[in-house]
Amino acid sequence: MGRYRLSDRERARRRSENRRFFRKLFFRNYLVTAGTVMILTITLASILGPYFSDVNPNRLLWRERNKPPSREHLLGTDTYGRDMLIVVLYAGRNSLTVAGIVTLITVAAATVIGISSPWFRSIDNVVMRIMDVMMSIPSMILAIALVGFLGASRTNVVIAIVLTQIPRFARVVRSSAITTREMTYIEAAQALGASHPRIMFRHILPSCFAAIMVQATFLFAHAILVEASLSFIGVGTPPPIPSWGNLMSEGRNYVSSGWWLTVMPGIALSMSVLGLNIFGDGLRDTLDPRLRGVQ
Amino acid sequence: MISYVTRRMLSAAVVLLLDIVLVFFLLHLTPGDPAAAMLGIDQTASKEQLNKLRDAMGLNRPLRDQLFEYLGKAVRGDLGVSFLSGQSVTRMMARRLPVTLSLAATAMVLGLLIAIPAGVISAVRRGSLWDQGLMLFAIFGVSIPDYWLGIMLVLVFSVSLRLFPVVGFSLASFTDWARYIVLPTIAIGMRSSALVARMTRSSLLETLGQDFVALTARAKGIREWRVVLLHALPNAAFPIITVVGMGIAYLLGGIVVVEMVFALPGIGWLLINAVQTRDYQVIQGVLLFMAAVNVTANLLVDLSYALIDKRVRYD
Repeated sequence: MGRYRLSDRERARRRSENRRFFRKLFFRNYLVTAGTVMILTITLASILGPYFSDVNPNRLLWRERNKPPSREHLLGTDTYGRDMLIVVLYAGRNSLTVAGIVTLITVAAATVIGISSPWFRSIDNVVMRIMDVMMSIPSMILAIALVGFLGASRTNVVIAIVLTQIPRFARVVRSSAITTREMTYIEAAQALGASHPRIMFRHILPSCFAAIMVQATFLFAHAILVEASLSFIGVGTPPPIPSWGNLMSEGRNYVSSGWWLTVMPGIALSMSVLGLNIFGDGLRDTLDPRLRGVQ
Repeated sequence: MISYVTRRMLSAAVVLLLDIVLVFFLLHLTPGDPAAAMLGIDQTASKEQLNKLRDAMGLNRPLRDQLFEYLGKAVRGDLGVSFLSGQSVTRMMARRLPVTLSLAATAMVLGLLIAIPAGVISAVRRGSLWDQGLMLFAIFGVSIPDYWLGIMLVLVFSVSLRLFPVVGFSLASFTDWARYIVLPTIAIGMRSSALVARMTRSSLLETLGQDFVALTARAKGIREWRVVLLHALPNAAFPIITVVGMGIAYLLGGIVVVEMVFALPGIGWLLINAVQTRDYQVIQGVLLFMAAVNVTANLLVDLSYALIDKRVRYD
């Protein structure tokens, strides 16, 4: 099919419409603004923070061990004498990276499943029953067991979370794709002889975008939580690599003598999840009010 | 109605059967070898010894035979034997069941006791300070990890204020049990209450806007609280019940980690120990048990629809 060209005027109109939409999204809706600020603060601090500090995270200072928060060490020091702020930021890099990779893979895989399954009607029932079976085991517990069978490593943590999150995500995409499937313009595309992939990804996918964006935000938040839980119980990110989960797990051994060891990583974790959840709520209200209440 | 109930129960049974198959393949298609785990990680065991043990455990038979044997036993409630303790997995779980069950029940009750009033208040006083405060609280509730909240509660109430024991469990008397269960209950209940409160609010708001509430009930001169609680709330119940049903999966997942934090000897802690010691039979058993609980709970949720609303049977 040949591509149609837009007139310059039409293109300009669409551009200004997009600009107006994003302005509305980010500045009218205080939820989106607040969420964006929180996520950006934590992400940028995790990425850039360690560069702005001359503290070597691996240098052990015997005399500085287990110090409560002070002006010198804002969040205190850990049991090896490292500055807690830097350690928490380093851990943030790892936790956010794992959650980010999980989100990307899950969104891609679940989108393909969620769109193609209702499009090829004959496989729909089977695919959805498989998803039902996978969802019948609580996802957190299935993830723990999967890591148990596969062994604790960062790759396996990603695999376990992705596998357990795909079904729920695919269902959301599917419910959105299934309404689009019945639209007249899809029938028109078919009549014009458009191929299956073209219809699915060029015509159906755009109408699922709102649902995918909103759900991806919640998924990111959820992935951070699950990764932390796995690391916390000792089957996630293996200990020499710091992550919010295993920092909390180590800190728990000193909970009465050094509360900041557990409290600080927990606050960082909660703040990023909170930021994402707030952002997702705002995004949902703006993009698709019909989805309100879904999570 | 009866045909709907049978159909729904049959499909739940099929899902459980497929769960058994899934759990079987989890063990047999992943790299972990139970016989190797049993011999220990040291490589002193020879290939011959390993093979002998695999023979004895029946791991060298065709996969299909093993699957049917596992299926047959699992259906009858025989989930195999833990290689660490040599005990039957079913019995190990049964002994730990009261801990997990009591925690799940109290957390659920606490969650609903907070969630329904909170949701109703914020829907009725939409946009007020109450509404904003409660919904802020709810979004914190879904964002804070439950085990971390548990540690915070221990820090404040057990370590500093010395009101509750730090960790542990006892079934010696009711007061003993209550002293140990309060903090874990709050830790887990917060999350479910936040989820349900959000849904209660949005579902009730929707119902309150419908004609039979907004116009008819009020036109009849019914008092406002009766309109909200007797006319709107029951009609807003479906989405709320659905969220409660979905929340059970989160609840069970949360319990696993919280049990570990509070050293509660329940099924969740059993799972974590089994994962750390690679006790595969126990992992499989706990997975199946949790699946069964979740599937049954969701079955009950679906059947309660049919009881509440007679229209459901037609679909």
